[in-house]
Amino acid sequence: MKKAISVLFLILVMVTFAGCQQNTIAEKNEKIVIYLSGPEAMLEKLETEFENEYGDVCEFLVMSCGQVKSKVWAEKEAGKIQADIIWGSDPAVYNVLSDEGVLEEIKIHNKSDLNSQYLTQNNYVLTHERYVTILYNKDKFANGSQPQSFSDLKNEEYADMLVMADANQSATALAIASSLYQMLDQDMDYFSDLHQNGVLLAKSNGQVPSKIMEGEFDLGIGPHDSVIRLKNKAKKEGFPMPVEIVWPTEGVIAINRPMAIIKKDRDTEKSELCQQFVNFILSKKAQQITYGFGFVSVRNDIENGYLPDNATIFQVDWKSAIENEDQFKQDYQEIFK
Amino acid sequence: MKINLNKTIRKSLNNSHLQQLRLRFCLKNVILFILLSVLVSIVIYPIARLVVKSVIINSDFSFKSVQQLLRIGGLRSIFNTFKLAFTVLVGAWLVGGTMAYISVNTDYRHKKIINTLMFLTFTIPSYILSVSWIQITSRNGYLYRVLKTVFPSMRFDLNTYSIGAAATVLIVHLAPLVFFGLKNSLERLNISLINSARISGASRSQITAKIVLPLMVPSFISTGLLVFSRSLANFGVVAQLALPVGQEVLTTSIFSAVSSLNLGAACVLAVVLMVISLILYQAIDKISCRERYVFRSDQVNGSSFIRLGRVEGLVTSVLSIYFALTLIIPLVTIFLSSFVKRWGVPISLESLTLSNYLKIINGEIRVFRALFNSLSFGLIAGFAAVTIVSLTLFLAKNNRGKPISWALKICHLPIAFPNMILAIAAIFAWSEQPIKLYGTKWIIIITYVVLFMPIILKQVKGMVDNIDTSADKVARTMGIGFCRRFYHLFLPQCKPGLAAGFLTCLLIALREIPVSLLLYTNRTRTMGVMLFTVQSNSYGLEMTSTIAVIIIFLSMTLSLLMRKLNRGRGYDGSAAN
Repeated sequence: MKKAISVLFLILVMVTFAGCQQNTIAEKNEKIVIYLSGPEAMLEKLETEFENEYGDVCEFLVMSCGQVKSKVWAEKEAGKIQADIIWGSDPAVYNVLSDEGVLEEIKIHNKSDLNSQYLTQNNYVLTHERYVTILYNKDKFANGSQPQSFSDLKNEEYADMLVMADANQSATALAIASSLYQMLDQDMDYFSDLHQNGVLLAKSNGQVPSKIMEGEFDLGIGPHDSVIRLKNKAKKEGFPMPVEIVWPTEGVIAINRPMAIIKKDRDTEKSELCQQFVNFILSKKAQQITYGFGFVSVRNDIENGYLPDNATIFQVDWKSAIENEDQFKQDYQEIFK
Repeated sequence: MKINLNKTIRKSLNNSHLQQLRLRFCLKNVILFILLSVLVSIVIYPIARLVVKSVIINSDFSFKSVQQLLRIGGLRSIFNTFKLAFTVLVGAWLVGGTMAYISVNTDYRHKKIINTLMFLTFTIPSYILSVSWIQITSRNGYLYRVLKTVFPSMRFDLNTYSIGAAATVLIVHLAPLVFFGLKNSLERLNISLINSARISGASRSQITAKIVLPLMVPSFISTGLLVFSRSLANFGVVAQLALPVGQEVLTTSIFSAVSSLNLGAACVLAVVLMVISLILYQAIDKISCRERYVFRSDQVNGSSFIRLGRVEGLVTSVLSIYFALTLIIPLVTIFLSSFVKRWGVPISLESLTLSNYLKIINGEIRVFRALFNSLSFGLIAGFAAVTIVSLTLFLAKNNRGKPISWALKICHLPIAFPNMILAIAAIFAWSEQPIKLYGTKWIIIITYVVLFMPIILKQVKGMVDNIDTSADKVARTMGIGFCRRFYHLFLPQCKPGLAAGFLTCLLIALREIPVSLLLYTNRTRTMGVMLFTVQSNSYGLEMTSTIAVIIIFLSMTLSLLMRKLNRGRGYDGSAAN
């Protein structure tokens, strides 16, 4: 028994140290290190497709949007960003990084294939678009009494029905909240009213459709793609999925997912690989994969089947969002405490 | 002249002060030096950095962070923390104290069942209890569904998310701490005092008011302070039940501050929490010392039992309802939910599935990786902590001196710090060059070592105090070296305590949330992180329940093993939480 326990312990220690060695290999810059966020199944599929073509060359570090943002920020402050590529979160942080000269220029292979509205002047590319909408449980609003606009959510008839992600815990939720603030004429009272109306703050945006689907809440503010993924899952696993989307009358908030290459000393081959990876994500093959997971493509040749014709899009001013972020956070915390 | 010189040299050699300063390059001193260096590096250095960071911004001494703390509602968090801890304290005293009284002072027939059920309640991690609270009380929860079936037209508004809900869950979880603490004290109450009072004509109420209660006061206070400090340090339950409605306590405020990169405020909040915890632990230590003089180990006298008579039926009913609500129903809901396709869908044969477990087995959810991480981090950190503590205790047992007593104090110090503080301190200590461990598994392992040391010390200290030093003295006289004396004489004598401590460490590693949540990366996800983060877009409470079932099974197995190892030493499992 003693011998067995000793052997088990030894094996565990060896495996743990072996894992450590793998880390070291990654740190020796033999692979491109990518900090990214997103649905794990989608990222796995993309990694497999890319590596089928280029070999085992990627090191994906999958995190939440907030973690990508905070890790990059902390590493930048410490003097060196460890990642070669960052992908996820919102454009606000990328604008700052681009302005500070931390990002490398990206050479897009077929620029004409991309929709011109998604091309930026900065050193990053936009890979997808998602829309912040109102989500609701269709079984609870069978008579069509669901809210039609973000402003409706303040009404007393929707008291204790609403769930949204907490901007204190999630970076995308912060982006959504500050976009709402911009769209509703910088009206901080909107959040006070939601608070008065009993809004629940979930840990992440992913939880919003889940909580509606499970019957805990009837309404939510969240990105549309999470509903698409939940619908796909419900279809596959055979359970009822009553969550639907309202495209608000004020317009839907468009949030783009950026990708950037970090400027650093690396050999030509690796630099080329980074450029290849970004171009792969913008390719039709990769964009079709991500479209299946609910993300709107930035390419001209993949139709946006998610956004209804009559919906208007509100484009966020990310520069202003980052400038006002501290004040917004402070006011938001004041309300939700 | 020569004689005078010799005299001077001898004089100086006899100078005791100089003798103390003389360096002796023996193995014992080298090990002590290494031990102290390691302890200072992993315990003192991170805490010192945290304290310094809280007042120094951009290399300047500043109270900006304190101002920021006030701005982000730090005072509200402190108020909520105390409100929560005080509510839990009163509730746990009431529940645990009543149970202990019934268990020791009455002739109740099912005392063993109370013991076992209290023990089982304590083995369920508090976070899992909060998950089952949501499953029972939330809209569309099991209670709601049952009530809706019976009274279809009524509107139910159960307050699932609030500080009160968090307090209720923590009372259920921490009441066993009071129960075991007070039960031990009541059992050790000196019966002769009661018998003397009875012979002198004192009534039962007089005996209770003038003898039992005054003797129990230190025990009440020390268990109460323990419950209070555990409530202050709790993160998982509050994050699950109070944070969603914007009610923050210190631990959740620290987490929010770190998440939004407000590190200055995180530092100040951490230091506030640290100071409160330190004061509480000092108080517990002092009261525990006083307790030793109050109680004596005596046999329980059966004749002093209060006869329940007809009330026994009522007691059984109340206890059955209590355990049904706090243990049976939560376990059943968690177990049942782990078999539904998606939590929230109506329960029927069609909605039941094994697919949640299959997803874990086929690797779709990387629970095995998380389990491996938790166990391997726990094993390595536990082994390191056992080595450090046993060496320190061996040195302290056979030698005296300030460095040894410092080493012992440093080993004990982390018990006063909530896990969240240890994690924040580790971030500040190990994020920068030359030793940059942030983002690797080693930062978690080192923080676990710090977390485990006082727990192992608590398990082994009593055992080591009872070891006779004469055997070691004889061995030393015979010329047996340090290592051989440590391995062949010392270790075998405290082996059961070390083994129990080691298992406790594994149990903590299996269910711990705050440390790994602040320090994990994609590759170093642990079971605690998995449990906390799995509920998302793709998975609902059904997957949280599936992981919870695995953790409950492993927790119960390890706890029972520890109970077996500690049999006869009054194990209450408190170290594991």
